[in-house]
Amino acid sequence: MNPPLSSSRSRKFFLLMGILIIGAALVFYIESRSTYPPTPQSLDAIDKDGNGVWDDMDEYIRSKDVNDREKKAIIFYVQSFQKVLLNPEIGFDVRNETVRADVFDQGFECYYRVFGHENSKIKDHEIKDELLKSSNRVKAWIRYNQNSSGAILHGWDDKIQGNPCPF
Amino acid sequence: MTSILSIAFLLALEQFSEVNLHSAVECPGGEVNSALIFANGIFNDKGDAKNARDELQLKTKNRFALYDIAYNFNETPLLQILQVFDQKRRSNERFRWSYFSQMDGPPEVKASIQEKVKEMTKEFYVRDADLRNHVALYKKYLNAKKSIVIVAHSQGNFYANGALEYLQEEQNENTPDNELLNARDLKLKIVGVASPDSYVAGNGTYRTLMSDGVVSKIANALPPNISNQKSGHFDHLFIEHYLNGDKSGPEILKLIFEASERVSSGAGFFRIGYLQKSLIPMNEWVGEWIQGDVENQKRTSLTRSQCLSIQLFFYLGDWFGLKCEERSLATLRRESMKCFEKEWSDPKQDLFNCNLVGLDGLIVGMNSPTEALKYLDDNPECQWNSKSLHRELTRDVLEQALSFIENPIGRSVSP
Repeated sequence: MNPPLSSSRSRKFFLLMGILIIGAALVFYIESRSTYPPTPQSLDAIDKDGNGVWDDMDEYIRSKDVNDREKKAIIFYVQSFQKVLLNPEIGFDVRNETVRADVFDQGFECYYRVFGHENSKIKDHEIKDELLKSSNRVKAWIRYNQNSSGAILHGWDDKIQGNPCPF
Repeated sequence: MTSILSIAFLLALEQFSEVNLHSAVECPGGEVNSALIFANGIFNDKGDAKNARDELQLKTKNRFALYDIAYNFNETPLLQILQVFDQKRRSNERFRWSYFSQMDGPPEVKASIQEKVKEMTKEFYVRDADLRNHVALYKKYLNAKKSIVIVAHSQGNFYANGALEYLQEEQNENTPDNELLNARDLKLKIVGVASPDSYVAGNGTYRTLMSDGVVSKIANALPPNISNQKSGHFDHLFIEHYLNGDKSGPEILKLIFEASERVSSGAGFFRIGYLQKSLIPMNEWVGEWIQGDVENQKRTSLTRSQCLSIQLFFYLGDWFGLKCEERSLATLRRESMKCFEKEWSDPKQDLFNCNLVGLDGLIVGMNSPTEALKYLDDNPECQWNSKSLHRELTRDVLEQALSFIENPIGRSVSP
């Protein structure tokens, strides 16, 4: 006896969906693995005025209504973020315990020292969203996080590490 | 007018609370010697995990000794999902065998089932480099006699369960590592949040929202057990949906403090022994000292020994019928931390020589004079035979502090 038509259709549908998901996962996997190390060109890391902040982020920072200290904190955070995008291998440093915190950790810590966690004017993820505008930047960020996976991220200790803000 | 009155009332209440808050929330518990570790969930990058850790630190009022993250971020996003399913499958299988091993049956069958559970636990450990790193950290803290509370969100539950079970297995076996753990029961508890797993290892507790749109899709996940008044999109995010939820937030904090008490069994307090003093005079003095601030807008500064005495007073447990909750603590906690930071700022860990009965020259690492005194209090058999207990703590200063606790009334506070 043949199964009811609806049951056969739904089975086909789920099979097709399964194949599609696995296929997409494989494509994504292969694509992300075949990426060359990020370069300033691939990340559109253009800094015409040479102030250490990529030009697209300069515009973003200018648009924010912040005081001088807050501006410095944003710039420092953006610069630390840019460094790990250009060199995702930095992620291994904390993972392998060669350092207690890397440049991103310092930028993040400084940022919230200035803005505070409670009712902070601008959240770090807003800046992250602004920075990760291209697929190459996203891939570099994922790679940095993969390299950090398994790491123990300690809280910042002023007594050992000093003030996270260099300004 | 009403709003002005409301503001005035709130300000008055704040002033009143500042002086007279006798609340269990302000009392130190086991967490002063515990590490709170956040095990992050799927798709959390470093920024997300750090935000979660910092939020936990804020909500627990910075009362734990350490706040760390056992970070995981495996593979590309779609493969992370596949990894979760794989972890889920293996975890379920292990849990099934573990459940069978508790049942009655012929000893040889039980033994072989237990062997199977052991194998699976080790397989987890061997296959996952991240898990090995996390376990190494937990071991380090346990060896240093710190207890641990892991707050595991989403996928982090697989890592937390895997780590705890591995440590338990290791402790059960007679290995050199087992000796290092130096405890009958593992001082580690898990508080699961939005757990996709079917259990919480080590009899831990958990909270999953009824409206969690991710966990509800996972077969055999722990059943949801809490709901908030407002629900959000998918209701799965750690800070937004769980920690900031009107019901789930306070519940999770309660579970964290309960877990901390369970692993430390009151270890945060000084017990009876080294610092036996009546607390009533000191309590009165503290009340007056704090009150002085309200009237004069300035609190008189403390000498080094007085600073030590209020720090010690803060950490004293239930002595002579005067419980922690009955003491003036809200301001004291903040003030004692402030003056302690200023007066006892040696960042280096010091070692001191403690001659236990029959064991000569046990060297113990101490981070602060309070920690050193706590050690003496926990180990009354430990003899203090040198001049200095800690780099900055001399017998004179300690004796002045103890004498101040005993009789602070009428003593002038140094300018």
